[in-house]
Amino acid sequence: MRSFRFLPALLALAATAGAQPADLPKTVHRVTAAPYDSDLRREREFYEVSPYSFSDDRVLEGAGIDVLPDRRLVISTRRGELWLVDDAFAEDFNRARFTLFATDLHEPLSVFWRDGWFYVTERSGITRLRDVDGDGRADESEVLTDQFGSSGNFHEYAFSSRPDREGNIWSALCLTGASSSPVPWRGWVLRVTPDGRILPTAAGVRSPGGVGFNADGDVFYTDNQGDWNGTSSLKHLAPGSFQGAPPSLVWWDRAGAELGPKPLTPSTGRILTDHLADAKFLPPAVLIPHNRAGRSPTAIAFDTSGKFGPFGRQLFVAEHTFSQITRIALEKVNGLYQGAVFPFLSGLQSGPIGMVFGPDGSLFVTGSARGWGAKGGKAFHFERIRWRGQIPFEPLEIRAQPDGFVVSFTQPVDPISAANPGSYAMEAWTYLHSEAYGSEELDRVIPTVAQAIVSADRRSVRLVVSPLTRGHVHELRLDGVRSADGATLVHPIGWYTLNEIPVR
Amino acid sequence: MPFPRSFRALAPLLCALLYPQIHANPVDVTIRTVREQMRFDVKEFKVPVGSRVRLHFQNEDSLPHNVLVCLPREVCEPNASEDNGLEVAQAAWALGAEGPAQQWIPKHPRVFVATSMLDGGRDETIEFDAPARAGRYPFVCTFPGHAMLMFGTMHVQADVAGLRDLRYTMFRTGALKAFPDFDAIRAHPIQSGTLPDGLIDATPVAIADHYAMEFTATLPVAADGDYTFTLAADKGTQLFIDGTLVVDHRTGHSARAIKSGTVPLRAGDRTIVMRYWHQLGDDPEVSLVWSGPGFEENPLSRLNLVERKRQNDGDRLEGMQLRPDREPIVYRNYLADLPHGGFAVGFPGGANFSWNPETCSVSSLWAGDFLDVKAHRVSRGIGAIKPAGFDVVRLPPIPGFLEDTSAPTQPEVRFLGHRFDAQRAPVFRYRFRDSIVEESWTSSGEVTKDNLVLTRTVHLKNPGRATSELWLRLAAHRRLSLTPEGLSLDERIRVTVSGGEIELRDERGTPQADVRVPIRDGRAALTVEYRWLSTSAKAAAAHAH
Repeated sequence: MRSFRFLPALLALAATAGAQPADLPKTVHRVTAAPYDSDLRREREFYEVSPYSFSDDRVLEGAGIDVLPDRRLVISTRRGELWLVDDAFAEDFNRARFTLFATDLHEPLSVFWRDGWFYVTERSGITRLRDVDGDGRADESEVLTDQFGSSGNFHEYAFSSRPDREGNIWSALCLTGASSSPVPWRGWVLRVTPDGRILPTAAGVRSPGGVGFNADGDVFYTDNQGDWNGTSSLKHLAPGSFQGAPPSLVWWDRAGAELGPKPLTPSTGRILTDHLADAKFLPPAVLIPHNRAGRSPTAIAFDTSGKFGPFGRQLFVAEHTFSQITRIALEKVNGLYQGAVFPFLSGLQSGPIGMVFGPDGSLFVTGSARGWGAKGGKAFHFERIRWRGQIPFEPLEIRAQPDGFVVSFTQPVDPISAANPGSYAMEAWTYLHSEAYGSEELDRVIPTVAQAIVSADRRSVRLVVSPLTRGHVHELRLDGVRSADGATLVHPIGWYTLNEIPVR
Repeated sequence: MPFPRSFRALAPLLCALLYPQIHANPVDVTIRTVREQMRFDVKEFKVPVGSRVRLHFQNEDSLPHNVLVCLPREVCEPNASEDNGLEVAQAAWALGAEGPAQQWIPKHPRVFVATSMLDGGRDETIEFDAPARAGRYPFVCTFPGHAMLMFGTMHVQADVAGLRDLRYTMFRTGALKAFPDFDAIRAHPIQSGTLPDGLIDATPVAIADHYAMEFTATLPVAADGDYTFTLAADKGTQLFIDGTLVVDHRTGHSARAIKSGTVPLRAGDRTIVMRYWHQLGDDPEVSLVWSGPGFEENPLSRLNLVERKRQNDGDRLEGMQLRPDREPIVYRNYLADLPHGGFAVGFPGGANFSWNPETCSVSSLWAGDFLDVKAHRVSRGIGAIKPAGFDVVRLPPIPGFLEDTSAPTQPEVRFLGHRFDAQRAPVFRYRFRDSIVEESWTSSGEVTKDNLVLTRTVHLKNPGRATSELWLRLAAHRRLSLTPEGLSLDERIRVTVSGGEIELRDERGTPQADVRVPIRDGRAALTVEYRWLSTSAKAAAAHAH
């Protein structure tokens, strides 16, 4: 049985350009990853970061956050509260004022406002609450669903999206202890309909940190490094998909026939071969290399105002442990999402959990480092990030090509440095896909940039690269590239996850 | 900033101990009271021997408080154990009617220095010279009754030099199951450098997953004597002094356990080597403190895990009590017996209950303190919280409503939500069949007066046409007894019902107490009263404790 399951994987591998030899998995060599150190001063030239200064006696362990149409903010906290925030858009961020709206919630990690109600994701489900008598405090709450099984374990975190186009809320439920599923729907993503029904939608979740949409309305979540996650990643939540961690599969038969047959339990040790063995397992759209680009991704958000700089509707992903924000540019190749993660902004004060864009392009971030250390050093934080109006020179996106990559930039490049293959350097590797906790970087390959061809508008460069290794994360360094003005890139690095190599 | 009177009034006996020296830079210490918690925010602080201390006291509570620093009890009574200043506070209380005029500062030989008795919202700064003798000097609030909870310690310590020439080397280890062999990993250095501020630190460089570090430094020892070194880390550590292993704390667990070793050292420069091992999963943390003649617990590392553990233990002892002062508190988190979304409700008078939304029934009832939520507010917030008070009656999970009291399975109830009434007490809403039930809760009486009552009013709307019989189940467990006065729960609480009659029956060996619900015109109402039989003595005992 086992060899039969391997057969399609091997055939597919043999047909893949630049693939690894078929005796996977085998370690080539191991390197301890080091974080990419951003130049904080340069980041701050382009983005203003305003941390709110809390008085000594206020504890606000922020987790969920949303902006109301009247420009108030709502923040849910790990202590079980909802706070309303006035004047968060004032020039002086420290003019923001906090009002305690509710205190009777079970570790609410996500919140959004819709039609007069605050929808709060608690451990056991989603509750909506409102203030009926107008005294500024919640006095009515309704259960939308209480079907998120919980067994009393502290790790049974739940994160939700805002409603999708059909009004459904997508909720990602962490495994019990981040490793097992003793009660229903641990390790699942459920859609909660407007009338409170649950639709089991995807299995294989380990430990989510946030759920959100891209500009096309497709749904993604972040999963954290650990069992079945050699590194953290951004994953695409297609209905019926399996996200790679098998403990949740015990509930598959209860989930409904429309999800199709139960996915195979991964057994090959690599994401690519497990995906080839059973396509229900969607490979992570973007691997976030552990210790290099982050350690613990959380919230997902994108700007719609156009006032947050040159990145359009790309995704921003909060990074808890490193107290920073990364940026992700996605594309779809052969029907699968993949793309690149870039450093964006570092030096936040605590571990961000919730993040939301305001209508004016302000990005609000809140979080707490209690029990989960974060580089920023403070126990909790609430910060506002605004673009200063100057365009940072950055790699805008990386797109896969049959023979390499096309990198586009936020500003025209200097054609001499950009056309020099020596301005670039690449490495590629992958991670173990198994129940082991985390992974070293495995199967290392050093691709060569043979040619760098600058486009006529000098906005992009086509890199001819060999070999391309399907399934590997490809690190691209661009230290030698200069802008037309002679500037270096603010972050001359990106990590592209090559799930698929395009044919044309 | 005048010297307080009491300082000048010190007994001659004590002056001999104290040789104040003038220091140009005072040591600043701030002590605040914590609003409505009857405690200081600082449990202890350290000052060097003979230093000038500038003590800033902010009373953020609504009651009057002061800070009175006492001499250690053993100064007056050799070999007496420390009382945290209680003896001095009791002397203050004995002032009786004279107390306010004297700011509750007694004439007692142990009074060292004191602030004024400050009303709520006031603050004051006093300056004084720390004693010339090292030791633990308790401080208390001497307002009558406060000293039991409001005390702390001023540690007076010898000035101690720190590490010199501190260097670190970081080695790659790969994933290991046990403490690494440093001779072997020496071949894989990642990075080395100096730590100019002389404090050992596990995170001088980038965070990595599997590594070990070796710290080397010169430790200046001021005098011959016995010195104690205390190590703690997220993984194993070892400490060598002049090449001798002093503390061997190799461990594969990530316990942040604390281990000490004591060695005699001669005065002069000693060479110290500390080894530390870090593995993926935990935050890298390492801590080294030492004690010796005239000083206690001087940190040689950036982190002081010993102090952190003591604070955590202290907090655990002290807890974080949720106190329903002005209105009821509804708390939702993991509670005893309720792993799935349970509620706890505490009323200002001292009546409390928890409620199970899965069965829409009462889970526990208790009197006195509501909840200590400390476990949920430190670290990752692990564990279920138990009632903090007394006379706890735990009711096994039971369905709230029944159509047939003997049927083993009952129609499902569905929790719909809750609202708050005008007194901010919760009203739970749920559906049973096609009835909508609203269950409101009020409380009267006080835990100190033996009249504590919880009242649960249950309203049903639209009981289904098919329902010929409907029962509210009050309890089903062993310690039930029915008397003309009512239903006794564990002989602690007496339950009475208006609008129905309690019936006690034995169902397969378990006593069950049910009330037939009277249905009239598609509506029904019942009021259930839970009255504690006797609480005042236990409340007094709990308070004294």
